[in-house]
Amino acid sequence: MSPQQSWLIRPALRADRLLLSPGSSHRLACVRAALAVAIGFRLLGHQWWQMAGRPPALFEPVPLTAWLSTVPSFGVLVALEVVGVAGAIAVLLARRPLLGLRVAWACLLILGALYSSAGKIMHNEVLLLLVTVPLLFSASDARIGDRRLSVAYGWAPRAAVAIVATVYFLTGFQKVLHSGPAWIFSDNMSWVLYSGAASGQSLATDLVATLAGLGWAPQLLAGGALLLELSAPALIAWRVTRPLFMVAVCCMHLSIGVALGLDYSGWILAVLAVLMPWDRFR
Amino acid sequence: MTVVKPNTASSAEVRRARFVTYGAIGSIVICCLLGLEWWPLSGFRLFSAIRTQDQTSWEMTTVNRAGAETPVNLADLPVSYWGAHHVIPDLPTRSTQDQQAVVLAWLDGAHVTTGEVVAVRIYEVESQVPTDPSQAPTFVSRSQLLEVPLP
Repeated sequence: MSPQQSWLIRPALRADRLLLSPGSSHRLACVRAALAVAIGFRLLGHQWWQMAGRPPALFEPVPLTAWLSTVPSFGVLVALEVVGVAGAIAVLLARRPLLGLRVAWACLLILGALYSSAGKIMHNEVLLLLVTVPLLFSASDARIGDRRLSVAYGWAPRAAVAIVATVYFLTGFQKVLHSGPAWIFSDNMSWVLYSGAASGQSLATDLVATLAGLGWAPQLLAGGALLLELSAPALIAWRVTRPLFMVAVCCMHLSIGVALGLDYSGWILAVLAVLMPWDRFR
Repeated sequence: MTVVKPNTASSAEVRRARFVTYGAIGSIVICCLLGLEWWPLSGFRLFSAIRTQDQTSWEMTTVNRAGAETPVNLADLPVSYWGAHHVIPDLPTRSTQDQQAVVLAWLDGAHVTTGEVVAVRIYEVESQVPTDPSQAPTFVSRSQLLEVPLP
C-alpha cells in the first residue's frame, strides 16, 4: 500500500470496522423511539390538511409525488397524519416497533413531499427523514434496557450519525462553493437578518434588526454557523465534542427560528435523537 | 453484559449494513454535488447564495376591457394556493395554456370574478430591504414580466 493509498484507504477501512462493530440493543431501541417521537411531533405540529384543495395547475410535484395530479383530499391528508402518529405511538409502546417506524416515516415522507410540491423545495423534514432511513432496515428485536451487544444493533445508529455529519458538512460546503469567503465577510448575514426583521415572521423584530446593524456581530454569526457546519464530521467523530455540537446546533436552529421565523425543529430533534449518549441512560 | 455474536455477524447483515449506509450517504453526496432536488434528497443549498439589500417581489393585476388594472393580493391567497412567488419566475417559459391555468387558479383563490377580466399582468418589483423594520421596502423599479390573455 502506497502512502497515498494508505491515506485514503486506512480511514475508510477504519470507518467500515467502526460501522460493523457491535452496538447495544438498548441504544438502537432508544434512537428508534426518539426518532419516532420526532416524527410524531412533526406530524402533529403542522396543519397538513391545509394543503387540500390545491388546484392541479398550482401543483408542482417533486419526483416522489409526480404520479399524483394534485394534493389528495382533506380526508386522505388527515388519515396519513393519524396513521403516522399511530405508527410513532406503536414504536413507543414497543408494539411491532420496526413496522411502526416504517409507517410513521412513510406518512411524514408523503406529507412532506406534498408540502414541497408548491414550487419550492422545503427542507424542514429532510434531515429527520434521511437519518431515519438506516433505522428502517435495523433489527426489530431491540429493546430499551436490553444490554445485549451485536453488529445487528450497532450499525444503524452509527449510520444515522454519519448521515447527520454528512448533511451538515454539505450545507456548509455549498455555502463555500457558491459564495466563498464573502458568505462570512460581506454584509450577507446583515441582510439576512434585516430581511427576517422586515418579513413579519421574526419573533424578535427589533432585536434582530439591532443585531443586523451591530458591526461585526452578523459576520461573527455567519462565521460561527459556517464553522459549525464544516466541522460537523470532526465534532461528531469525537464523543467528547458531541455535546458541544448538539448545543451549537440547537442554538443555531433556534436563533434562525427567532430571527427569521423558520421552523427547523425537525433538524434539532433529529440531531438529539441520533447523538444523545443513550448507553448512559439505562 | 451479553455479547451476541460480536465478530461473527451474518454476511447478510454486513451486506445490508454496508448497502444501506454507503448507499444513503452516497446518494446524499451525489445529489448535493450534482445539485439534484430529488426530495428528500437535496442539493442542500440552504442560504448558500449571498443576500444583499436588493430584493425582488411580484405584483399581479387583472385588466378589464377598458384597460383598467385592479391589483390582486397574492399574499392573501389561502394556504392551499401557496407558492405563487416561487412559481412566477418560471411562468414566462411555460405555454400560454399553462400560464392561463395558473393565473386562473390564483384568481379563483383570491375570489376574483373573471367575467370582465381580459388579461392578467404580472410585474417584477425591485426594492431594497429596510434597515428599520417599521419602514416599508424602498421602491427601486417595477417592470412588466408577463401578460396572460384570458380565454
